[in-house]
Amino acid sequence: MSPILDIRDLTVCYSGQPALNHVSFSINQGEFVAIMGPNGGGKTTLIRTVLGFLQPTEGSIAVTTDKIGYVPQSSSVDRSFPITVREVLKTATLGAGLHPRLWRKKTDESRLDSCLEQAGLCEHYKDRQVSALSGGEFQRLLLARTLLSDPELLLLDEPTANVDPLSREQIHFALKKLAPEKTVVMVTHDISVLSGTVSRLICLGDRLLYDGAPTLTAAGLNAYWAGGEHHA
Amino acid sequence: MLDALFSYQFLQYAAWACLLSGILGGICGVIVIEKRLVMMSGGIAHTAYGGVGLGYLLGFEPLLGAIGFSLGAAFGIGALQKKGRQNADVPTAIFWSVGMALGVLFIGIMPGYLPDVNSYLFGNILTVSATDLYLLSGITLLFLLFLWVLYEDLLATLFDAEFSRVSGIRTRVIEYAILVLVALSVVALIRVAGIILMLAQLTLPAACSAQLTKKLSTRLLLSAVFGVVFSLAGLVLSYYINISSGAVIVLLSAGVYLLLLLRKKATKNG
Repeated sequence: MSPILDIRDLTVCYSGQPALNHVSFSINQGEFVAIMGPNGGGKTTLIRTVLGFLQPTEGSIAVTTDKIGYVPQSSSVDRSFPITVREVLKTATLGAGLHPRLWRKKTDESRLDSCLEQAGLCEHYKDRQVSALSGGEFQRLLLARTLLSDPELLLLDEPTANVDPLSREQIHFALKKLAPEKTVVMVTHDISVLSGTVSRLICLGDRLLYDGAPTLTAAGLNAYWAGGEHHA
Repeated sequence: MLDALFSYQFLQYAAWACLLSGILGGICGVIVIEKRLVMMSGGIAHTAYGGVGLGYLLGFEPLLGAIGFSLGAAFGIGALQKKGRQNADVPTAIFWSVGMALGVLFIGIMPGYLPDVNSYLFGNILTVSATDLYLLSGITLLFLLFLWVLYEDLLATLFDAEFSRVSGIRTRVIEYAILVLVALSVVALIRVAGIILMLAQLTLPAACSAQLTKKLSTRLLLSAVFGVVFSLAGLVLSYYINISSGAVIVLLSAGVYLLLLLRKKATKNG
Protein backbone atom coordinates (compact mmCIF):
# COMPACT_ATOMS: atom_id res chain seq x y z
CA MET A 1 0.00 0.00 0.00
CA SER A 2 1.37 3.43 -0.92
CA PRO A 3 1.92 5.84 1.97
CA ILE A 4 -0.33 8.90 2.21
CA LEU A 5 2.35 10.68 4.28
CA ASP A 6 6.06 9.98 3.82
CA ILE A 7 8.58 11.76 6.03
CA ARG A 8 12.26 11.32 5.14
CA ASP A 9 15.17 12.43 7.34
CA LEU A 10 13.23 15.45 8.58
CA THR A 11 15.04 18.05 10.69
CA VAL A 12 13.32 21.26 11.85
CA CYS A 13 15.25 23.85 13.86
CA TYR A 14 14.20 26.87 15.92
CA SER A 15 17.05 29.40 16.15
CA GLY A 16 19.56 26.66 15.29
CA GLN A 17 18.22 24.23 17.91
CA PRO A 18 16.61 21.08 16.43
CA ALA A 19 13.01 20.40 17.53
CA LEU A 20 13.00 17.39 15.19
CA ASN A 21 16.23 15.59 14.38
CA HIS A 22 16.48 13.33 11.30
CA VAL A 23 13.04 11.76 11.73
CA SER A 24 11.78 9.26 9.12
CA PHE A 25 8.54 7.30 8.93
CA SER A 26 5.58 6.83 6.63
CA ILE A 27 1.86 6.47 7.24
CA ASN A 28 -0.39 4.36 5.02
CA GLN A 29 -3.95 5.12 4.00
CA GLY A 30 -6.55 4.20 6.61
CA GLU A 31 -4.18 4.07 9.57
CA PHE A 32 -5.08 5.66 12.91
CA VAL A 33 -1.78 6.84 14.39
CA ALA A 34 -1.11 8.40 17.79
CA ILE A 35 1.99 10.58 18.10
CA MET A 36 3.17 10.81 21.69
CA GLY A 37 6.25 12.08 23.48
CA PRO A 38 7.47 14.40 26.18
CA ASN A 39 6.71 18.14 26.12
CA GLY A 40 9.03 19.83 23.61
CA GLY A 41 9.54 16.52 21.80
CA GLY A 42 8.58 17.97 18.41
CA LYS A 43 5.03 16.60 18.05
CA THR A 44 3.32 19.90 17.26
CA THR A 45 6.35 20.96 15.18
CA LEU A 46 5.84 17.85 13.05
CA ILE A 47 2.14 18.63 12.44
CA ARG A 48 2.88 22.29 11.67
CA THR A 49 5.64 21.33 9.23
CA VAL A 50 3.36 18.89 7.40
CA LEU A 51 0.77 21.71 7.15
CA GLY A 52 3.37 24.10 5.71
CA PHE A 53 3.40 26.56 8.64
CA LEU A 54 7.08 25.67 9.24
CA GLN A 55 9.80 24.89 6.72
CA PRO A 56 12.05 21.81 7.09
CA THR A 57 15.70 22.60 7.78
CA GLU A 58 16.63 19.28 6.18
CA GLY A 59 14.77 16.30 4.75
CA SER A 60 11.46 16.05 2.95
CA ILE A 61 7.74 15.55 3.45
CA ALA A 62 5.63 13.94 0.74
CA VAL A 63 1.82 14.02 1.04
CA THR A 64 -0.08 12.23 -1.73
CA THR A 65 -3.39 14.05 -1.13
CA ASP A 66 -4.35 17.71 -1.08
CA LYS A 67 -7.43 16.91 1.01
CA ILE A 68 -5.88 17.55 4.42
CA GLY A 69 -8.01 18.32 7.47
CA TYR A 70 -6.58 20.04 10.53
CA VAL A 71 -7.94 20.22 14.06
CA PRO A 72 -5.81 22.71 16.04
CA GLN A 73 -5.31 22.76 19.80
CA SER A 74 -8.54 24.25 21.12
CA SER A 75 -6.52 26.67 23.25
CA SER A 76 -5.18 28.29 20.06
CA VAL A 77 -8.70 29.34 18.96
CA ASP A 78 -10.46 32.28 20.64
CA ARG A 79 -13.63 30.83 22.17
CA SER A 80 -14.93 34.26 23.18
CA PHE A 81 -15.16 35.33 19.50
CA PRO A 82 -18.74 36.40 18.59
CA ILE A 83 -19.69 33.58 16.23
CA THR A 84 -22.33 30.84 16.13
CA VAL A 85 -21.77 27.12 15.53
CA ARG A 86 -23.45 27.45 12.10
CA GLU A 87 -21.11 30.29 11.12
CA VAL A 88 -18.05 28.27 12.21
CA LEU A 89 -19.19 25.31 10.11
CA LYS A 90 -19.89 27.56 7.12
CA THR A 91 -16.28 28.80 7.16
CA ALA A 92 -15.23 25.22 6.31
CA THR A 93 -17.54 25.04 3.29
CA LEU A 94 -16.08 28.10 1.57
CA GLY A 95 -13.24 26.27 -0.18
CA ALA A 96 -10.05 27.80 -1.58
CA GLY A 97 -9.60 31.42 -2.68
CA LEU A 98 -11.65 34.50 -1.88
CA HIS A 99 -15.43 34.40 -1.71
CA PRO A 100 -17.15 37.62 -2.82
CA ARG A 101 -20.78 37.82 -1.71
CA LEU A 102 -22.30 37.64 -5.19
CA TRP A 103 -20.32 34.51 -6.21
CA ARG A 104 -20.93 32.58 -3.00
CA LYS A 105 -22.67 29.20 -3.13
CA LYS A 106 -25.57 28.35 -0.85
CA THR A 107 -24.65 26.18 2.14
CA ASP A 108 -26.01 22.64 2.23
CA GLU A 109 -27.53 22.52 5.73
CA SER A 110 -27.88 18.71 5.65
CA ARG A 111 -24.08 18.41 5.28
CA LEU A 112 -23.61 20.60 8.34
CA ASP A 113 -26.00 18.36 10.30
CA SER A 114 -24.29 15.19 9.13
CA CYS A 115 -20.79 16.39 10.12
CA LEU A 116 -22.07 17.60 13.50
CA GLU A 117 -23.53 14.15 14.06
CA GLN A 118 -20.29 12.43 13.03
CA ALA A 119 -18.47 14.51 15.65
CA GLY A 120 -21.01 13.59 18.32
CA LEU A 121 -23.10 16.78 18.32
CA CYS A 122 -26.67 17.28 17.13
CA GLU A 123 -28.21 19.88 14.82
CA HIS A 124 -29.73 21.82 17.76
CA TYR A 125 -26.23 23.19 18.43
CA LYS A 126 -26.17 25.14 15.16
CA ASP A 127 -27.66 28.36 16.53
CA ARG A 128 -25.63 28.35 19.74
CA GLN A 129 -22.87 30.84 20.37
CA VAL A 130 -19.41 29.23 20.47
CA SER A 131 -18.76 31.00 23.79
CA ALA A 132 -21.68 29.03 25.30
CA LEU A 133 -20.17 25.61 24.46
CA SER A 134 -18.31 23.45 26.98
CA GLY A 135 -14.67 22.51 26.32
CA GLY A 136 -15.67 19.07 25.01
CA GLU A 137 -18.44 20.47 22.79
CA PHE A 138 -16.08 23.07 21.37
CA GLN A 139 -13.49 20.41 20.55
CA ARG A 140 -16.15 18.32 18.79
CA LEU A 141 -17.22 21.41 16.85
CA LEU A 142 -13.62 21.83 15.62
CA LEU A 143 -13.70 18.19 14.51
CA ALA A 144 -17.06 18.63 12.73
CA ARG A 145 -15.71 21.73 10.97
CA THR A 146 -12.77 19.75 9.64
CA LEU A 147 -14.97 16.86 8.48
CA LEU A 148 -16.95 19.29 6.29
CA SER A 149 -13.98 19.57 3.94
CA ASP A 150 -14.11 15.76 3.52
CA PRO A 151 -10.38 15.24 4.24
CA GLU A 152 -8.47 12.08 3.33
CA LEU A 153 -5.72 12.86 5.85
CA LEU A 154 -6.82 14.23 9.22
CA LEU A 155 -4.21 15.87 11.49
CA LEU A 156 -5.25 16.55 15.08
CA ASP A 157 -3.19 18.43 17.68
CA GLU A 158 -4.14 17.31 21.19
CA PRO A 159 -7.88 17.00 20.52
CA THR A 160 -8.65 15.80 24.04
CA ALA A 161 -6.56 18.30 26.02
CA ASN A 162 -8.64 20.12 28.67
CA VAL A 163 -11.83 18.08 28.11
CA ASP A 164 -13.72 15.95 30.62
CA PRO A 165 -13.36 12.11 30.51
CA LEU A 166 -16.82 11.59 28.94
CA SER A 167 -16.13 14.05 26.11
CA ARG A 168 -12.72 12.45 25.63
CA GLU A 169 -14.37 9.05 25.13
CA GLN A 170 -16.90 10.56 22.68
CA ILE A 171 -14.12 12.21 20.66
CA HIS A 172 -12.09 8.97 20.54
CA PHE A 173 -15.22 7.06 19.48
CA ALA A 174 -15.94 9.58 16.69
CA LEU A 175 -12.35 9.40 15.44
CA LYS A 176 -12.26 5.60 15.52
CA LYS A 177 -15.32 5.50 13.27
CA LEU A 178 -13.51 7.65 10.68
CA ALA A 179 -10.69 5.11 10.09
CA PRO A 180 -10.10 3.20 7.82
CA GLU A 181 -12.01 5.45 5.39
CA LYS A 182 -9.80 8.36 6.47
CA THR A 183 -6.22 8.42 7.69
CA VAL A 184 -6.05 9.90 11.17
CA VAL A 185 -2.85 11.25 12.78
CA MET A 186 -3.34 12.51 16.32
CA VAL A 187 -0.83 14.22 18.61
CA THR A 188 -1.83 13.38 22.16
CA HIS A 189 -0.66 12.99 25.76
CA ASP A 190 -3.61 10.75 26.54
CA ILE A 191 -2.40 7.16 27.08
CA SER A 192 -5.97 5.83 27.14
CA VAL A 193 -5.84 5.84 23.30
CA LEU A 194 -3.41 2.91 23.53
CA SER A 195 -6.21 0.61 24.75
CA GLY A 196 -7.90 -0.13 21.46
CA THR A 197 -8.41 3.33 19.90
CA VAL A 198 -5.35 3.72 17.65
CA SER A 199 -3.72 1.16 15.34
CA ARG A 200 -0.17 2.47 15.64
CA LEU A 201 1.98 4.50 18.03
CA ILE A 202 4.86 6.83 17.18
CA CYS A 203 6.95 8.34 19.99
CA LEU A 204 8.97 11.49 19.37
CA GLY A 205 11.54 13.06 21.66
CA ASP A 206 13.13 15.38 19.07
CA ARG A 207 14.05 12.13 17.20
CA LEU A 208 12.06 8.96 16.57
CA LEU A 209 11.97 6.93 19.82
CA TYR A 210 9.35 4.31 19.00
CA ASP A 211 7.30 3.28 15.99
CA GLY A 212 5.11 0.24 16.27
CA ALA A 213 2.04 -1.38 17.78
CA PRO A 214 0.21 0.59 20.48
CA THR A 215 0.98 -1.95 23.15
CA LEU A 216 3.12 0.11 25.51
CA THR A 217 2.08 0.79 29.09
CA ALA A 218 2.71 4.13 30.81
CA ALA A 219 5.86 2.65 32.37
CA GLY A 220 7.01 1.44 28.95
CA LEU A 221 6.47 4.88 27.44
CA ASN A 222 8.44 6.51 30.23
CA ALA A 223 11.31 4.08 29.65
CA TYR A 224 11.42 5.05 25.97
CA TRP A 225 11.32 8.77 26.76
CA ALA A 226 14.02 8.46 29.40
CA GLY A 227 16.25 6.03 27.51
CA GLY A 228 15.74 7.42 24.00
CA GLU A 229 15.61 3.94 22.47
CA HIS A 230 14.73 3.58 18.81
CA HIS A 231 12.56 0.73 17.65
CA ALA A 232 11.60 0.55 13.99
CA MET B 1 -28.20 75.20 17.19
CA LEU B 2 -30.31 74.19 14.16
CA ASP B 3 -30.28 77.81 12.88
CA ALA B 4 -26.51 77.88 13.18
CA LEU B 5 -26.26 74.48 11.44
CA PHE B 6 -28.11 75.81 8.39
CA SER B 7 -26.23 79.13 8.45
CA TYR B 8 -22.60 78.07 8.89
CA GLN B 9 -20.75 75.78 6.50
CA PHE B 10 -18.18 74.76 9.14
CA LEU B 11 -21.00 73.37 11.31
CA GLN B 12 -22.43 71.43 8.34
CA TYR B 13 -18.96 69.99 7.68
CA ALA B 14 -18.67 69.13 11.38
CA ALA B 15 -22.03 67.28 11.31
CA TRP B 16 -20.98 65.28 8.23
CA ALA B 17 -17.65 64.51 9.89
CA CYS B 18 -19.50 63.22 12.98
CA LEU B 19 -21.69 60.97 10.86
CA LEU B 20 -18.82 59.53 8.79
CA SER B 21 -16.26 59.23 11.59
CA GLY B 22 -18.90 57.60 13.79
CA ILE B 23 -19.55 54.92 11.16
CA LEU B 24 -15.85 54.44 10.35
CA GLY B 25 -14.67 54.40 13.98
CA GLY B 26 -17.51 52.03 14.88
CA ILE B 27 -16.87 49.36 12.24
CA CYS B 28 -13.08 49.67 12.33
CA GLY B 29 -13.17 49.45 16.13
CA VAL B 30 -14.95 46.07 16.10
CA ILE B 31 -12.28 44.60 13.79
CA VAL B 32 -9.48 46.22 15.81
CA ILE B 33 -10.82 44.77 19.08
CA GLU B 34 -11.52 41.29 17.69
CA LYS B 35 -8.10 41.12 16.00
CA ARG B 36 -6.46 42.56 19.14
CA LEU B 37 -4.98 45.52 17.30
CA VAL B 38 -5.93 48.26 19.78
CA MET B 39 -2.39 49.13 20.87
CA MET B 40 -1.15 48.71 17.30
CA SER B 41 -3.74 51.31 16.21
CA GLY B 42 -2.37 53.67 18.88
CA GLY B 43 1.12 53.02 17.52
CA ILE B 44 -0.02 53.73 13.95
CA ALA B 45 -1.72 56.99 15.01
CA HIS B 46 1.34 58.28 16.86
CA THR B 47 3.67 57.25 14.01
CA ALA B 48 1.46 59.34 11.71
CA TYR B 49 2.63 62.44 13.58
CA GLY B 50 6.04 61.93 11.95
CA GLY B 51 4.32 62.14 8.55
CA VAL B 52 2.45 65.30 9.57
CA GLY B 53 5.77 66.88 10.59
CA LEU B 54 7.44 65.81 7.32
CA GLY B 55 4.54 67.30 5.34
CA TYR B 56 4.96 70.67 7.08
CA LEU B 57 8.77 70.58 6.69
CA LEU B 58 8.77 69.74 2.97
CA GLY B 59 5.67 71.78 2.16
CA PHE B 60 3.22 69.05 1.05
CA GLU B 61 -0.19 68.11 2.48
CA PRO B 62 0.48 66.80 6.04
CA LEU B 63 -2.33 64.22 5.69
CA LEU B 64 -0.46 62.57 2.79
CA GLY B 65 2.58 62.28 5.04
CA ALA B 66 0.38 60.83 7.77
CA ILE B 67 -1.02 58.21 5.33
CA GLY B 68 2.49 57.17 4.24
CA PHE B 69 3.81 56.91 7.81
CA SER B 70 0.66 55.04 8.99
CA LEU B 71 0.90 52.44 6.23
CA GLY B 72 4.62 52.07 6.96
CA ALA B 73 3.87 51.58 10.66
CA ALA B 74 1.11 49.02 10.01
CA PHE B 75 3.32 46.86 7.79
CA GLY B 76 6.45 47.51 9.86
CA ILE B 77 4.88 46.47 13.16
CA GLY B 78 3.36 43.39 11.49
CA ALA B 79 6.68 42.37 9.91
CA LEU B 80 8.75 42.95 13.06
CA GLN B 81 6.23 40.97 15.07
CA LYS B 82 6.45 37.99 12.68
CA LYS B 83 10.24 38.10 12.29
CA GLY B 84 11.01 38.54 15.97
CA ARG B 85 8.48 35.95 17.19
CA GLN B 86 7.49 38.44 19.87
CA ASN B 87 4.18 39.99 20.78
CA ALA B 88 3.27 43.27 19.15
CA ASP B 89 4.00 45.42 22.22
CA VAL B 90 7.70 46.03 21.58
CA PRO B 91 7.52 46.99 17.86
CA THR B 92 4.37 49.04 18.60
CA ALA B 93 6.19 51.00 21.33
CA ILE B 94 9.18 51.57 19.02
CA PHE B 95 7.04 52.94 16.16
CA TRP B 96 4.87 54.90 18.64
CA SER B 97 7.78 56.84 20.18
CA VAL B 98 10.00 57.13 17.07
CA GLY B 99 7.07 58.51 15.02
CA MET B 100 6.29 61.17 17.64
CA ALA B 101 10.00 62.02 17.96
CA LEU B 102 10.33 62.44 14.19
CA GLY B 103 7.26 64.71 14.13
CA VAL B 104 8.71 66.91 16.89
CA LEU B 105 12.10 66.95 15.08
CA PHE B 106 10.68 67.84 11.64
CA ILE B 107 8.53 70.65 13.04
CA GLY B 108 11.39 71.86 15.24
CA ILE B 109 13.83 72.30 12.33
CA MET B 110 11.26 74.14 10.16
CA PRO B 111 12.37 77.62 9.24
CA GLY B 112 10.08 80.54 10.19
CA TYR B 113 6.87 80.35 12.23
CA LEU B 114 5.94 76.95 13.66
CA PRO B 115 2.57 75.57 12.47
CA ASP B 116 -0.27 74.89 14.91
CA VAL B 117 -0.30 71.09 15.22
CA ASN B 118 -2.81 70.98 18.06
CA SER B 119 -5.65 69.98 15.71
CA TYR B 120 -3.65 66.86 14.74
CA LEU B 121 -2.90 66.00 18.39
CA PHE B 122 -6.32 66.68 19.93
CA GLY B 123 -8.56 66.97 16.86
CA ASN B 124 -10.99 69.76 16.14
CA ILE B 125 -14.17 68.79 14.39
CA LEU B 126 -14.98 72.45 13.72
CA THR B 127 -11.91 72.88 11.50
CA VAL B 128 -12.65 69.89 9.25
CA SER B 129 -12.25 70.86 5.58
CA ALA B 130 -13.95 69.61 2.41
CA THR B 131 -10.76 67.62 1.60
CA ASP B 132 -10.94 65.92 5.02
CA LEU B 133 -14.57 65.00 4.32
CA TYR B 134 -13.71 63.51 0.91
CA LEU B 135 -10.96 61.43 2.57
CA LEU B 136 -13.31 60.32 5.34
CA SER B 137 -16.10 59.41 2.87
CA GLY B 138 -13.71 57.47 0.59
CA ILE B 139 -12.20 55.41 3.40
CA THR B 140 -15.60 54.75 5.01
CA LEU B 141 -17.02 53.53 1.67
CA LEU B 142 -13.94 51.36 1.06
CA PHE B 143 -14.26 49.75 4.51
CA LEU B 144 -18.01 49.14 4.09
CA LEU B 145 -17.44 47.64 0.64
CA PHE B 146 -14.73 45.31 2.03
CA LEU B 147 -17.08 44.16 4.82
CA TRP B 148 -20.02 43.60 2.47
CA VAL B 149 -18.11 41.76 -0.25
CA LEU B 150 -15.70 39.62 1.80
CA TYR B 151 -17.58 39.22 5.10
CA GLU B 152 -17.36 35.38 5.14
CA ASP B 153 -13.60 35.41 4.45
CA LEU B 154 -13.13 38.04 7.16
CA LEU B 155 -15.18 36.03 9.66
CA ALA B 156 -13.19 32.84 8.92
CA THR B 157 -9.84 34.64 9.20
CA LEU B 158 -10.71 36.48 12.39
CA PHE B 159 -12.00 33.32 14.09
CA ASP B 160 -9.20 30.91 13.13
CA ALA B 161 -6.62 32.13 10.61
CA GLU B 162 -4.55 28.90 10.66
CA PHE B 163 -7.48 26.61 9.88
CA SER B 164 -8.69 29.02 7.19
CA ARG B 165 -5.22 29.01 5.63
CA VAL B 166 -5.16 25.19 5.55
CA SER B 167 -8.63 25.32 3.92
CA GLY B 168 -7.19 27.49 1.15
CA ILE B 169 -8.85 30.78 2.13
CA ARG B 170 -6.60 33.73 1.16
CA THR B 171 -5.98 34.76 4.77
CA ARG B 172 -2.87 36.80 3.88
CA VAL B 173 -4.95 38.98 1.52
CA ILE B 174 -7.56 39.50 4.24
CA GLU B 175 -4.92 40.27 6.90
CA TYR B 176 -3.09 42.79 4.69
CA ALA B 177 -6.42 44.37 3.71
CA ILE B 178 -7.24 44.77 7.42
CA LEU B 179 -3.85 46.42 8.07
CA VAL B 180 -4.29 48.87 5.18
CA LEU B 181 -7.87 49.73 6.14
CA VAL B 182 -7.00 50.23 9.82
CA ALA B 183 -4.04 52.47 8.90
CA LEU B 184 -6.21 54.59 6.54
CA SER B 185 -9.06 54.78 9.07
CA VAL B 186 -6.69 55.95 11.79
CA VAL B 187 -5.49 58.81 9.56
CA ALA B 188 -9.06 59.79 8.66
CA LEU B 189 -10.09 59.79 12.34
CA ILE B 190 -7.06 61.86 13.41
CA ARG B 191 -8.57 64.99 11.77
CA VAL B 192 -11.74 64.56 13.83
CA ALA B 193 -10.60 63.15 17.17
CA GLY B 194 -6.84 63.79 17.10
CA ILE B 195 -3.93 61.40 17.56
CA ILE B 196 -4.36 61.24 21.33
CA LEU B 197 -8.16 60.84 21.55
CA MET B 198 -8.60 58.71 18.41
CA LEU B 199 -8.22 55.41 20.32
CA ALA B 200 -11.40 56.19 22.26
CA GLN B 201 -13.36 56.69 19.03
CA LEU B 202 -12.13 53.28 17.85
CA THR B 203 -12.68 51.29 21.04
CA LEU B 204 -15.62 52.75 22.99
CA PRO B 205 -18.48 52.31 20.45
CA ALA B 206 -17.23 48.78 19.73
CA ALA B 207 -16.92 48.00 23.44
CA CYS B 208 -20.49 49.32 24.04
CA SER B 209 -21.92 47.16 21.24
CA ALA B 210 -20.07 44.10 22.63
CA GLN B 211 -22.10 44.53 25.84
CA LEU B 212 -25.35 44.18 23.90
CA THR B 213 -24.83 41.48 21.25
CA LYS B 214 -22.73 38.38 20.58
CA LYS B 215 -23.18 38.36 16.80
CA LEU B 216 -20.38 39.95 14.78
CA SER B 217 -22.58 41.46 12.04
CA THR B 218 -24.96 42.98 14.62
CA ARG B 219 -21.97 44.19 16.62
CA LEU B 220 -20.63 46.01 13.53
CA LEU B 221 -24.00 47.68 12.92
CA LEU B 222 -24.57 48.66 16.56
CA SER B 223 -21.03 49.96 16.92
CA ALA B 224 -21.51 52.26 13.92
CA VAL B 225 -24.81 53.52 15.41
CA PHE B 226 -23.11 54.17 18.78
CA GLY B 227 -20.26 55.95 16.99
CA VAL B 228 -22.63 58.29 15.12
CA VAL B 229 -24.78 59.01 18.20
CA PHE B 230 -21.75 59.71 20.44
CA SER B 231 -20.14 61.99 17.85
CA LEU B 232 -23.31 64.00 17.09
CA ALA B 233 -24.30 64.25 20.77
CA GLY B 234 -20.74 65.31 21.62
CA LEU B 235 -20.84 67.99 18.94
CA VAL B 236 -24.16 69.39 20.21
CA LEU B 237 -23.00 69.35 23.85
CA SER B 238 -19.68 70.99 23.03
CA TYR B 239 -21.56 73.72 21.13
CA TYR B 240 -23.63 74.59 24.20
CA ILE B 241 -20.96 74.22 26.92
CA ASN B 242 -18.16 75.58 24.73
CA ILE B 243 -15.61 72.79 25.41
CA SER B 244 -13.47 70.88 22.87
CA SER B 245 -15.74 68.45 20.98
CA GLY B 246 -13.13 65.60 21.05
CA ALA B 247 -13.02 65.59 24.84
CA VAL B 248 -16.84 65.70 25.13
CA ILE B 249 -17.24 62.79 22.65
CA VAL B 250 -14.72 60.65 24.59
CA LEU B 251 -16.23 61.38 28.01
CA LEU B 252 -19.77 60.81 26.77
CA SER B 253 -18.79 57.46 25.17
CA ALA B 254 -16.94 56.36 28.32
CA GLY B 255 -19.96 57.30 30.44
CA VAL B 256 -22.35 55.21 28.31
CA TYR B 257 -19.89 52.29 28.37
CA LEU B 258 -19.73 52.47 32.17
CA LEU B 259 -23.55 52.50 32.38
CA LEU B 260 -23.77 49.44 30.09
CA LEU B 261 -21.21 47.62 32.24
CA LEU B 262 -23.18 48.42 35.40
CA ARG B 263 -26.41 47.31 33.71
CA LYS B 264 -24.81 44.00 32.73
CA LYS B 265 -23.52 43.46 36.26
CA ALA B 266 -26.95 44.29 37.72
CA THR B 267 -28.64 41.86 35.30
CA LYS B 268 -26.18 39.11 36.29
CA ASN B 269 -26.68 39.68 40.01
CA GLY B 270 -30.44 40.09 39.65
